[in-house]
Amino acid sequence: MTDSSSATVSVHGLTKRYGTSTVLDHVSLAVAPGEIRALLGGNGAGKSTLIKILSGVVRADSGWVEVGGEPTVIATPRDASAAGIATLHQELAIVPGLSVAENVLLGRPTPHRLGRVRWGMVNGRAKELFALLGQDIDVRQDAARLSPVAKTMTAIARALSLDARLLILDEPTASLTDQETSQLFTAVRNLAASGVGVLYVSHRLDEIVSLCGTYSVLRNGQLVAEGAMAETSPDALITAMAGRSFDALFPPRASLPAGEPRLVARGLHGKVVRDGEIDLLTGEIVGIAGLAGSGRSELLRLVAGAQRRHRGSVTVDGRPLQRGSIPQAQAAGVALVPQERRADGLVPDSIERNVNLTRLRALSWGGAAVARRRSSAHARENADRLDVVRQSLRQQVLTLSGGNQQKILLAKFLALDPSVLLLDEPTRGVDVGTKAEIYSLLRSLAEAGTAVCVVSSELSELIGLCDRIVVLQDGTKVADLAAAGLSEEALLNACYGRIPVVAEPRS
Amino acid sequence: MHRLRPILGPLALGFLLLLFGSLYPDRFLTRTNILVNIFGQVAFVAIVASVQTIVMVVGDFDLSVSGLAALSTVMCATILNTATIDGTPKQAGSVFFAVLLGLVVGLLGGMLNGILVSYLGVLAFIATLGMTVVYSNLARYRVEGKPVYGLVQNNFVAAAQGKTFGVPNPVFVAVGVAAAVWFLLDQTPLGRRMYAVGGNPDASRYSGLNVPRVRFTAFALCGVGVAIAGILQAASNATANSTAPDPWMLQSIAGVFLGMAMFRNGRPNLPGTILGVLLLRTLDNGLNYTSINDYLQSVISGAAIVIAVLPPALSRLREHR
Repeated sequence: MTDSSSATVSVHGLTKRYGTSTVLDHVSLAVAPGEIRALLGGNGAGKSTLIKILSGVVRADSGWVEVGGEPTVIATPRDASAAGIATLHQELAIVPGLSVAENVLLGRPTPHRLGRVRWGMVNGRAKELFALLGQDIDVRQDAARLSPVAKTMTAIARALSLDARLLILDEPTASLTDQETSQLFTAVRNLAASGVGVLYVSHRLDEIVSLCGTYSVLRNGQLVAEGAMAETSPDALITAMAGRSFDALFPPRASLPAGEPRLVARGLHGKVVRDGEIDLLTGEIVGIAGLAGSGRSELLRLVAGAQRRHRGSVTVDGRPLQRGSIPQAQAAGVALVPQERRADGLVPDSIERNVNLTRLRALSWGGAAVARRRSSAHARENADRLDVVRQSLRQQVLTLSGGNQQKILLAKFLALDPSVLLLDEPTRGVDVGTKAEIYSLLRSLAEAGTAVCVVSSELSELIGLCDRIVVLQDGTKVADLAAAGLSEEALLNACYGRIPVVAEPRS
Repeated sequence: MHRLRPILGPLALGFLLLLFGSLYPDRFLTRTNILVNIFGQVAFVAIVASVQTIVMVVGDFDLSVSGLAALSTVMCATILNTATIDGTPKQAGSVFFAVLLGLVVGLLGGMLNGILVSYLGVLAFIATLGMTVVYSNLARYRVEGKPVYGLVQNNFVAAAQGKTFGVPNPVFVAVGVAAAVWFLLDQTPLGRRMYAVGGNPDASRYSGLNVPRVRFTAFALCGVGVAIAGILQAASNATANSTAPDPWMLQSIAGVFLGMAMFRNGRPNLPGTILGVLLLRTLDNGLNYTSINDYLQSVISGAAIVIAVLPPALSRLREHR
């Protein structure tokens, strides 16, 4: 069905200014039928503006879009679908209560005869579209019960039902496990093989390298590099995005050996985690690695009191922590920076109110009234410490870029002055420049005596940042490795339970 | 539109005053009408809407305000009356004890709502909808569905019917409650917690806030507030009528919604709420002077509520597109 309509979608000299800042500066790129092109760039590089122009949400100041060589005006989202451009956002619009097939054909007229829906046709069409993606999903089930990856597939199938020529995927793997991601990639490849062009936006380099055939890199609104994926390397891509090399992202490791044990957890049992244990020492950054579902985040949450443990003990400086109480853990100096910054991290309010949220009592007159001047000073101090780019402290956090939102989240928990800092995917959806800033911040905290623990699904990040990496499998610790000199391959093997012989487990 | 928002409420109020003022200059724009009929009558709803704002800030609704106001009012009134329900004369009880009992009933009812919603996880919508039936019918059971007269003893009525500088005394109570709620929401750490919990409960939990306790507190305070409003209205009418608070549920929620439409990124806020209930009352009062049929007057004020919340609803729609 898509073969007849396949065509190259290209943009020419797109420029967009907001006030005095130019967010897109004469950008040109093209996606041919069957091509999977990666769109790379840090936050503020202009990726989202380009996507918004292509999907008809924003209009360019100058430049034009061509579909199959014909200049095409895209002024509204409706124009974009008419031109065959479908955009899949991070938040998928799945209607719970409707069947999968109904969700797929949501934008199309429902086939009916004499006022009755022809279910056979609805289900048949949906099945065809899933077949194109190489998927076998029961299209009659309630869409709400689908797994995250199946929801993504459903949204892609819906885009297909609109005869898409270009499919734009914006961070589609953000909520997917590793296995689901590979399923998604198979589907995307099938789709490209049928003649649809794909523009793929992601911060995860390893994914991009394995999926995409070509790439375009934006920096400060300009196209700074493009070419075939086979002729480049992740290091070169990062250099293009950030203007600096990959190894330079990470600060040097600890110069001194780790100090006293600060937090000790033993025999933890909870959701997923079985017999979990961890030691966090002062001055050290510990990484937690493992496949999706291995209990990485759950271990962190059990330790921080964000989840109830059934059994086991956690002590901080020798004093036991009560179970399942975040306030008590915070009082003992343990802070957990949660994973999903929008869902679990930020409240829809100003920078000041977000940063001060963990310290409300201290920033008041005996708990009775907010101490205005102290509150502003506290927020300013903490926002400055992390170099949050902002208009004012009253700016709404949700209007900030992803990197700056992450900094606000960090600032909120650093304001607790924790002696144990736990971070769950601290650089997810964050641009390269901010990543480097976060890494060096964590290192300087460790040097100052904080015990730091990082959960990450990016192996290169764990190896580059940490001193020591604890590997979990099925909720249990299977290895404890020194990070220096560890290869990604060895770490991945450890995640699958094959312990490398080169690295010596700690005593 | 966004820049206009903060002055939208005063603008609408000014328009109403101008409209009715030019139509009925002799009757509408009089000192008595403004102070007694508008301010004096809005006082009770303003109190309820103020405490409703607290509950809506934490992200819930309290649909039980009418029922709980009725229950706390009749509990108070049946101590103060000079005759029992079946007409036997009796000694009126002490005002202090009666009012205290009414407030305690309000507090307990609010706490019960809070336990249901924040500790037992019942949706606020259905929990408070169910409880309003429980509270209002307990009230009717207590008074056998009849109004409680004879509250004139012990200066109970005199204070509420009195005026200071021409302003009915309940207005001062309303201003006091509104000021207290404003201070709570805007100036105290608890208020900050309430806005945080309403904005994102998960983020609040991870930040170390006791989310259930914050929501519970909002409901408990709301209970006390509606008791104040109910008792005050009974005093100023010299009658406790278990159906008198019935319109408060809709009016208070509409007031908060109007306020959300006017100020601060669409979050509930006290100044907006007060302006909202004032707008609704001015419209109703102005319509009273027209020759429009009573039912049609209600149609107009109901439609006005919906139309007033249209602009923010539309701008939300645009954001989603």
